[in-house]
Order: sequence, then structure tokens, then C-alpha cells
Amino acid sequence: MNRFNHCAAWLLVATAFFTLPAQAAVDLSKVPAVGTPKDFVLPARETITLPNGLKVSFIPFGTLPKVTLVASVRTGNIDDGAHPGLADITADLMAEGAGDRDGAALDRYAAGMGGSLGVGSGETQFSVSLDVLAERGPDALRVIADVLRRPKLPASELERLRGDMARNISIARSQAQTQAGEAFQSLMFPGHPYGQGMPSDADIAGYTLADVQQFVSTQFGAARTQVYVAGSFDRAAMEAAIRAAFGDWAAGPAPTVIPSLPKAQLGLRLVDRKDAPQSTLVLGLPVVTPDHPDWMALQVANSLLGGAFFSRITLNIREAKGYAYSPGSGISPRKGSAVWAQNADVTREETANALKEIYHEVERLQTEAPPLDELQRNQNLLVGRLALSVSTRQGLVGRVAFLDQFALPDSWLSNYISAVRAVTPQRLVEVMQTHLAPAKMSLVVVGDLNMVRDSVKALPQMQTLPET
Amino acid sequence: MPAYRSLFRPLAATLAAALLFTSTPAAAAGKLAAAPAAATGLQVPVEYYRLPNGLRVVLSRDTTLPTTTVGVYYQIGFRIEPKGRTGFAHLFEHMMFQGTPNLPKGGLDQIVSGNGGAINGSTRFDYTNYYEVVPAHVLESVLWVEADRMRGLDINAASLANQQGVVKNEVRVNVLNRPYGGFPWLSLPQYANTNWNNAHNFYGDLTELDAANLEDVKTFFNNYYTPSNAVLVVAGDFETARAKAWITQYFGSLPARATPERPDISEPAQTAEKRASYVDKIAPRPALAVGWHMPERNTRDWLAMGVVDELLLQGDASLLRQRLVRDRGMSSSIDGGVNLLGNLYNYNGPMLFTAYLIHDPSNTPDAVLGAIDSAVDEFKAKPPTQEDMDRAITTLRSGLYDVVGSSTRFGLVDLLASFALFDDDPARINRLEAELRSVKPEEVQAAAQRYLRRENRTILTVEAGAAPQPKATEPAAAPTPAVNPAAAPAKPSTTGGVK
Repeated sequence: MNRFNHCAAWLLVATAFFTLPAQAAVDLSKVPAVGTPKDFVLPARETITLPNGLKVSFIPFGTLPKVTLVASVRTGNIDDGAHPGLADITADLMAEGAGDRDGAALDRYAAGMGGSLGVGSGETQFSVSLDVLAERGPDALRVIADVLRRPKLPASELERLRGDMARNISIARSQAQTQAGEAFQSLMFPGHPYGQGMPSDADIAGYTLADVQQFVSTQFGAARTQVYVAGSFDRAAMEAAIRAAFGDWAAGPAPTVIPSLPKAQLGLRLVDRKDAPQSTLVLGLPVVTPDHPDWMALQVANSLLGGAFFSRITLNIREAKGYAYSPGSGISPRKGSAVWAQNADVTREETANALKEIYHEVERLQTEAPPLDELQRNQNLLVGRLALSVSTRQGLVGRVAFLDQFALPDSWLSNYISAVRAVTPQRLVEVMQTHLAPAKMSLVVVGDLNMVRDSVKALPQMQTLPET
Repeated sequence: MPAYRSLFRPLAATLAAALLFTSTPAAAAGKLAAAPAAATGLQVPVEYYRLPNGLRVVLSRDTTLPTTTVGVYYQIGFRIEPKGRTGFAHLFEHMMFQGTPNLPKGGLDQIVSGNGGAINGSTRFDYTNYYEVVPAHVLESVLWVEADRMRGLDINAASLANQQGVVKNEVRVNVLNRPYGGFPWLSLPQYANTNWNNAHNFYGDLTELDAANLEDVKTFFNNYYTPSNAVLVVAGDFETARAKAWITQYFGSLPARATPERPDISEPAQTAEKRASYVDKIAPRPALAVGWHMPERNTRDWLAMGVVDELLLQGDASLLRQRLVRDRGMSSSIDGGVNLLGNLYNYNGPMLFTAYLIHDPSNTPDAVLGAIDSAVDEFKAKPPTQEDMDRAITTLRSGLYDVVGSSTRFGLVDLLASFALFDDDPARINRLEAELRSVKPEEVQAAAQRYLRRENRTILTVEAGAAPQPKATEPAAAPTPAVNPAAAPAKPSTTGGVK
């Protein structure tokens, strides 16, 4: 009762303040217009380079007492050599103790700082990270340096970690989406490390301690490493800790040159998944990388075509037809290459119909300029999502590391906003024609082939797409 | 290499790891006393009031980012959806995105995402929520949108049939065509509980999803989607007086309606251990889950179990992870916690504390269970050390900063809404650290001894139907006599999903 009265009294005050139109005069059936956007300011960073080549970026951000530390090293599966997955088992073993702490002690120490140690490898980037309470920043930095420079690499843990990797990969490979993804990557990057997929059981059984030691001693060094410090921190204390922990680290090797990229294989790959109630689809092709002038316009085209929830493909195969739950398209950039792909898990019986609709939407945008309001919604979406994504410590580090990975200037991010806004309906059509031509797209279907093969093969687009 | 590390962590457990606990001294196992104002820890602004029609409103202003988050939480979860209509609470959630007499289907997303925001909804045990994060200048439109769909929906046969198709595909992608689909978050409650409200298939049997009709939709809306059965939270960048005026204008004009009656969701005390098993035809390795019934929410034991969860199961340093993963190498992770679809706070009824893992066939289910028992017994043997208690507090504080500092503020809104919805006290968020500090190590030990007992647990094993080699395992134990295994689907179902 108290709250009620208090609240009613307050209402009068509020209406008086804003002299809102009387309730009866307000048409509640009309959406109110949106206001004027506030300016969005990208956080800035300062980067220093130590004499041994190690780079450090400081990014003050936010008011909460936490700090994110990431050391990113330019190595990864690209340096696996004869042992696919070697970078991954190396990451796993590096987390099993470093400096004067064994694995369990590292776990406890990280938790005591309010964080959890992350060591992981990608194709061209290897990272060691910790996100901790601000006052523990220098301590966390020293842990990261220990992991990179003084990993214990205990032989006793290798067999267990190999078993974990084999189990996790077997689980991943039992998922339709992983099966489709591996098949698609092998079409996009035939014979290249980017297309090698996950290691086999034989690969995993073959890793030795010597292989891991060799990887650590040959692939790491200051010149390949960039440290990111984001959040709340004492700049002087952090820099001192970084110089003390990394200043005498050898420069090490120059980053590996990425093998030149093969031509993608254009084709249809059908993968049988017996009794699957859905078909898992991947349709896509190689596109330009983030340093290309068309990149931003391509982002807009992707959003409008399949990337956004209100994209054409999603509205069609989900909100009109009900064939799928969470279809979506995206562009995955790698060093030297990027791939656009539309993914969807669709009702088995509607597999060919879903493909027909997806192709229809891709084809329609080749010639028909989209309405301006539809285009603007997608532009707003991209700008708004960028703002959200750089408004956390981890998101900020991710974006900045992306710039470094592709050797882009910091101004690229602010240009992104204006370049996205500058795309016109006609420009979008041109980008579709140049980069997203349906005849250049490869297709993977993972499903019950007895049920879906014939209807898929009968689609007109399949008549020029060789089954591979 | 494509990600294969994080594949086996079903849903939002990010909060659960960090967010535990509440309140202050009281007799063990007694109800929590009202907590004093916290002397330490994070403080977020909380303003709380109620509109004449019964809608509860929570405001939490923070202008560090130029975004605003809105959440509308209705106190209707899948637990109490109608019998014969399993999965309906979640299907209805989808219908809330299908348009109103004032805004056609798709318009909602155009307003939110089309102005740079993000929008979603989800269905959980005891609530269904709808939430948006938008650039601050879009707030008024979002408040209008949420009030508009609280006023009424444009229900029609076409949109219902469409969303039945979408939801069935959601079940297929998350459960039927996915190895370990629904394990254990969806399957375990069906074996561990006996009250239908807690023990049915929350995602819905496909035939019952198909059976839903327009009358069901209308009735459900009328019963549960009322102002007095809801909480509105606005967090982030806004001018307080202006936001309040909009709330009054758009929500205040909704007529008051009856608050729904609540069915009995109580769960009788379990007196003997249960075991159940099923074959997952597409799973390559066996899996095992153990679920213990939790003490009643807001009791001292419940609070202490939050600490048990942190020290036993959450994070790299937890005891179960150290013993099963590092010492015995049974799996790369053991996961779980209180409320697999949320955290210690955002539910209001019977709940399980669950631990689960996927393991190799070279370890029998009994060997895995033996390792869990041994770690649990080790935990129960003595109170946690001061170092352990300190680590739990540090983890809580660190996690809470991230919840508050997240750019979407969805976690913050979830806590504020849950404390308003279930406790009529959203300011409780500011007492979490003080309340945790009130837990004594002896209380943690006592709660573990009282609740982590065999008679209080259900063991669920999954046989690997797609194992590459002949299995070395013993056949899993027979299903419990307390549950008819045929009554539960082979692979039960819902994430209370998305849109």
C-alpha cells in the first residue's frame, strides 16, 4: 500500500515536469519516434615496443576494478608442421604448470585473483589470457610471462591431455554442424592448413613430449608477441611489470609466412547422417579480406542477406516458412583469406525447399536494389553492435587484436562506421554481384541422404555444381 | 582449428559460476533473516516502485555507456505450463514476437535491432523474460513496444503454425539431432522429480507442440501476461524523471487484471537413491550426471550450498575438477551447478544441484561415480579453509563486477528482476557480498553433509549409441523403479530458448 501511494504521488510530479499531453490525447497505438543518437566514442589505445620487439597496447576502459590481460603470439596451427593439432596440445600442456607453480597451484592462484587462466591456439594466433581484479594486474601479468617463458611441460600429463583431446574431438565430430564445417573448409582451402580440420586419432596418438618442447622452443619469442592490457590499471606499475617480465626475452623467430592460398574447390558435398531429422546446410565462397575497400559494404550486404535476425533469408526460411530455428550468415576472416557462408539446420523434408529459398534471396539481391529503410536498419544494426562489442574489456581487446592481426590502422574502426553508413542501395547490389555471386558458391549438405539427395540434386543450381 | 574445447557446456552458466549467496545469520536451515545494509562490495543504484495496476518497476541508472537495457519478466515458467501442452510456455514466448494489433510481425525487431540494439526472450523454470539493449535514444520506443505487447497480441493461425515449425526445429537442432542433446538439463529433472510440474518435458513433445491451438494462446496470455504478474527493469543510461514518465504513460494505462493462482510445485522429500539410463544413438562416449535436491531457496542451507557449489564444482580450482580431471583424467571437464538454466537466484521452487561429465568407455559408470563420491566425501570431511572461503568471495566479487559491467547489462537486469519477482526486494543485489561473508565454514560443511547424500540424489547415465568400438562398460544400471522410463522421452527436451 505504501509503495502504491508513494508512486501515485510521484506520477503527478512527473507529468508536471514534462507537460506530457493528457493521457486521453496520446495515441497509444502509434510507436513513438526515436530520439537523437548520442555520440559514440571508441576507446583509444597507446602502444609501446620493447627493444626485443615485444609490443604492448594499453587500453584504459571503464570504471570497474577489473583488468584483462592477453598475450597474443603469432603462431598456431599454421606451425603444426607434420603434426596437425600440435599447437593445441602445446597450449594444453603449457597450462599444466609454469614458473614455480604446478597446474593445480596455477588454478588456485588464478582463482584467488578472481580469474581463470586461458591458454589456447587458433590457426595463426596463440593466446595466454587472464581477467582479474584490478589490483592483481601485475601478478597476473607475471603468470602469463611464466606460461610463455617457463612452462613446465610435465610429461606426466601428456597422456591425459591426449585422451581429453581425442574425446572432445570425437564429440565435436558427432555434431552435424562440425561435420558440415569441416567439409566446407576442405572445399574452401584444399591442401592448406586452413582446410586441414581437426586432428585424427592417429595424429593425437602421435604427439610426443619432444614435439611439444620443440614447438615451444621454436615458435615463441618477443618479436611474435603483443600484450594487451585493458580495463582499470595503474599504467606505470603495469609497464614496469611487463618490462621486468618480458624485457630479457629473446626476440625469437619472425612470424611464419602463411602458405599461399589455394583456389577454392567449387562443388556440392553431400555427407550422410543417417536418420537425421534435419539437414545441416553451408553455402558459401571465398571473399575479400578486411583490408579491401569493399569489406565494409560486404558487411552490410551480409547483414541484409542473412546475418541479421531481420535478414531476408531468416525472415524467409524461419519467419515465413518455419523451416529452421537459427539460420544465419557471416564472414570469417583469416590472414590472407575470408569466407562468407550461410548456415542453416532445416527440417529434413524441406531441405530442397529451404535451399530454393536461400538461393532465391541471394539471386534477388543481384539485380534488385533493397529499399532504403531496410538498408538503413542494417546499417544501424552494424554500428550499434560495434558499439556494444567494444564496450567490454574482452570485446575491446578482440577488436584491437583484429586490427593488429590484419595490419590495419586504428582509424579503420572509426572509418568502419562512416563506410557502413555510406553504402547505397545500388552499391549493395554491386557488392552482391562482385562478391556474392551464387554461381561461385559451394554447398555442403549433412543429412539423411536417402531422404534428401534426389530433391537437392534436382535443384536448378545443382546442374552446374559438380558433386565432389 | 575449429573450436572443440568449449562444446560441452550447455547454457548460460556464466553467472552461476560467480553469483551465489544471500543474507545473514539465522538458525541453520532456518529462513534467512533480513540482511543489514552491506558495508562492503559493489553498490548499484536501485529504485523500486509499483504502478497502480500492480506492475513492479526497477530502475538502475548507470551512464558509463550510452546504452539502455530493458527487461520484462513474467512470473510464468515452463514448470507450470498446462498439462497436455508440454513446451507451451516456450512456444508462447515465440508468439510474443509475432506482432500486435498496433505493430505487425517483424516490427519489434525493426525498432530494436533496426536502431542498433539487440532483442531476445527466454523461458525458464519460473519466469519468461523479454529483453532489449538499445542505444539510449531508443528507450522510449522500447518501453512502448513492451507495453504494447503486454496490452495484447495479434494471434492468428498462420503465425502459430509458423512458430510451431520454428520451435520444432529448435528442438531438433538442440536435442534430437545433437549428441547429448538435453543432457542433463532437460533429462535429469524428469527422473529426479515426481511432481509433474517439475518432471515433465519442458521443451515439449512434438505432438503436444502440434496440438497447441489459438484458444490455448489466448488463455495463457490472459492468465499470466498481466501487469501484476510482471516486473519491468530499466538499467543503464536514462534520465530518471523522463523514464518514469514514459513508464507511467505506456504501462500505467494498462488495466489491472487478476494475478494468476499458483499450482502446488512442491517436491516430496526423496528417501532412496534413484538411477536411470538411456541410450543416445548419436553420442560417441558415455556420460554421467548426478543431481541432488537443493534445500529450499532463501534458507541458510541454501546459501551454504551456494558456497559448496563454488568450492566443489565451479572453476578450475574446484575440488571435483581437480580430482576427476587433473588427478584421474576421466574427462577434460566436470560441469554443473545449481540451476543449469541460470544461477542460484533466478528460480523459485524445487531445484537440483547437478554435476555431469562425458567420459571414456574405459571407465565404467560406477568407477566415475566412485570418483565423484570420493571427492564429495573428502569435501564433507572437514570445513573449508579460510583460503577456500576467501577464494569463493573473490570469485563472487569478480563475477559480479562483470555482470554489472557487461555492455548488454542482461545479467544485471536478470538479477534485479529475479529479486523483484521472487523476493520483492531488488536491492538485495547490493547485499550479496556481505551475505556471502556471513557464511561460516562449518555451515558449508553441514550443508554438504545434509544434502549431498545418496538418498537425496538421482544418477543418470547415457549410453554411447555411436561409440566407435565395442563398449568395455558394464551395462548401465537399470532405470529406477520410481520413474517409468517409457514415460520419459528417450532424449528429453527445451532450452527455453531464444526468440
